[in-house]
Amino acid sequence: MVLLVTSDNKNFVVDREVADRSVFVKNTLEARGLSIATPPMLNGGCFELTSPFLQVLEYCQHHRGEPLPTTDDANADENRKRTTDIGEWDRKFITVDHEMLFEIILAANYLDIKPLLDVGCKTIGNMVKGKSPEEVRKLFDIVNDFTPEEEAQIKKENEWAEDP
Amino acid sequence: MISPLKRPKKVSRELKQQLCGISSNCLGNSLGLELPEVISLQKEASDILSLAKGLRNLTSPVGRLPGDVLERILAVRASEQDLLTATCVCRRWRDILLSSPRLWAKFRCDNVVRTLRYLERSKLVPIYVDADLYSDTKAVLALKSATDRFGSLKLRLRPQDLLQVFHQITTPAPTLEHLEIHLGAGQTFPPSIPATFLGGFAPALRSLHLVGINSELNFPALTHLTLVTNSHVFYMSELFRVFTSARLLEEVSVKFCGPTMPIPGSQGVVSLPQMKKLSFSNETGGFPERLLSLLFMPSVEEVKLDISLPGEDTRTMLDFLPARYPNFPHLLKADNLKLSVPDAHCNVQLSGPAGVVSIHASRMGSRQQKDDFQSRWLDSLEPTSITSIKGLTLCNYRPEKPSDQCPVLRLLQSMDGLRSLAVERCNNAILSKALYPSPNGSILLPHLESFTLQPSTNLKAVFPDLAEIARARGWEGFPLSKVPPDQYAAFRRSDVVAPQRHVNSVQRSAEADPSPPANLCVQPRAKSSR
Repeated sequence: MVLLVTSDNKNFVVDREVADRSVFVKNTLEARGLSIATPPMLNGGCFELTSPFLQVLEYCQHHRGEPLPTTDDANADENRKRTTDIGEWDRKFITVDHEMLFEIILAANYLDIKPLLDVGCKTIGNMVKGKSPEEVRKLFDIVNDFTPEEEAQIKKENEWAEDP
Repeated sequence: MISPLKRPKKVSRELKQQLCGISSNCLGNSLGLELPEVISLQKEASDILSLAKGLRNLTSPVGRLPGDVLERILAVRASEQDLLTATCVCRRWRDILLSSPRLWAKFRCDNVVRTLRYLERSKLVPIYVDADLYSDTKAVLALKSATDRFGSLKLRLRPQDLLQVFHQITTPAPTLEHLEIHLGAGQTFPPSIPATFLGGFAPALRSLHLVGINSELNFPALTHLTLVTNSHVFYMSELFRVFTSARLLEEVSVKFCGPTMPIPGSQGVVSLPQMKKLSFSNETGGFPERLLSLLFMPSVEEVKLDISLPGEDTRTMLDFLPARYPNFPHLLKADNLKLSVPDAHCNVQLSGPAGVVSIHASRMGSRQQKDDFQSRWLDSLEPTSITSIKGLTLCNYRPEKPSDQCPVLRLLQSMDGLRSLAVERCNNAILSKALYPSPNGSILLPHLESFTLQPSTNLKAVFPDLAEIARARGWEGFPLSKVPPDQYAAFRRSDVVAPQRHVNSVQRSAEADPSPPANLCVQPRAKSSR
């Protein structure tokens, strides 16, 4: 078992197999020669970690025992990223509000859990598909910060893409 | 003072209130400024407003995503349009995406502007270019300046356009790894890739895919080759030339159509010492005799031949294969053997850790000729060579009355080490005969661990005594696909039942149904007309 402590000082005791889904945790434990009941302090940085961490733990628990993607296989990584399919369980798991979705992605990115990061990225990628810039802005609460001149320039630059 | 970092919305509102709706002239008059100064101020204000909005975007949830994550999101985009859309969302997204050359490295050469734009945005990374019949030739030619960045190049063009491209793109492509050139079907003349294309220098090329076209280029580093072509006289010599120049080939797939007679001046054994997989298909001819040596390369793991055997080619194959079959190195290494003797085909396949060798030869001629062919084939098999075979699949063998002297039976009986046996489209009697050669029920193949019957297998026909058990238990016509080793004997004599999942399809008496053994595998069968 491994004790994980989040940045807001919440303790989580998890199986080593579950903790090892995170390359960050795995490497930290291995580098320090730690094994049982040793708390690697996870620095959550600018976000509250506990809430997304619970979600991340649920994901790791569900996928425990599955082979981890190898870091040396660039092609497999590329293929995995390009496939937009998301498994049934993962799809239900990632059906959360935008705030939580981005928190999960940030956590997955920080903890280096590539499969979870892929699920999050694909989910957002699927949201963006087929939408206009204005629709994307509305979806993610983004303000158009281009100056009128820039907008005109971009439109001109993209004329080639509108050719049949 | 209000910090834009803290109150971007308020700043935006105030600036808007101050600046919007005031013309440059009015503003100049009221402030006593010249017009250029006013315009400059307005530009500055607009920039500040834009900056404030950008800062406000950073506070949104999506604004907290790091640039590499945003790039990852767009890497799974469905279309170019989605990528372009994303560049128009906000400045941060645009900056991140335009500074990610890998996102712009794969494109189609539709028109010149698009091609130049992608070349510019992909900066210095390898590019993966696709040009087809809808592409503007000028756009393809615009690639001239970027041949040193080619990672993959796919051209599916008309012959005249291809020739133009071949003769104009003549600078080396040192990073090109995959080259694919298709000549559309129905084209009347097949051009050849001239030696000047890409300066004749593509040292990193690993994969070459040519359809309907020859090549005069040498690719010393080639490991994967696919050739699909129509028949024309010089093709076979080209094929030999590629084979003799690309000694590192590991996977070769050739779809050929035409005669394979020896070509004058084309002598010598072709050797590809690293070849692992060979697939050769010839719908109207045989297998080039000069390439037969490839079947014996020690590195070979898989060979698939799909050929016809008319005329001289037939004689070549018949003389060659049976004669050398006992010495076929893979036969001794293989774990599985597949024998197929259909009416119109002859198919031998070996598989196992050493690989797969499959020979699928269409046989033309009369029925008598076919039977002769079949007989010659099987009689030529040398049973002593294959006693180490662990698995056997027997296909398309349907003798009406298989005798003990039947070559296949003799073959089976010699396979003492056989652990698995499967039949496909065979007469069931052959399996029954193999397993129950005598009335007392002595079992050959003592190490047999499992056997798989074809879906239409009727237990009664294959296992007379099992059929009695089956009948007593109401398993009439029930299919059996696999019997594990330690259940084999018990299967014949003790109470063995089908798994529970079949209860709805089989009527059985409750007291005669003990629990099924865990490792007995009985597959349900699709509804049969029988």
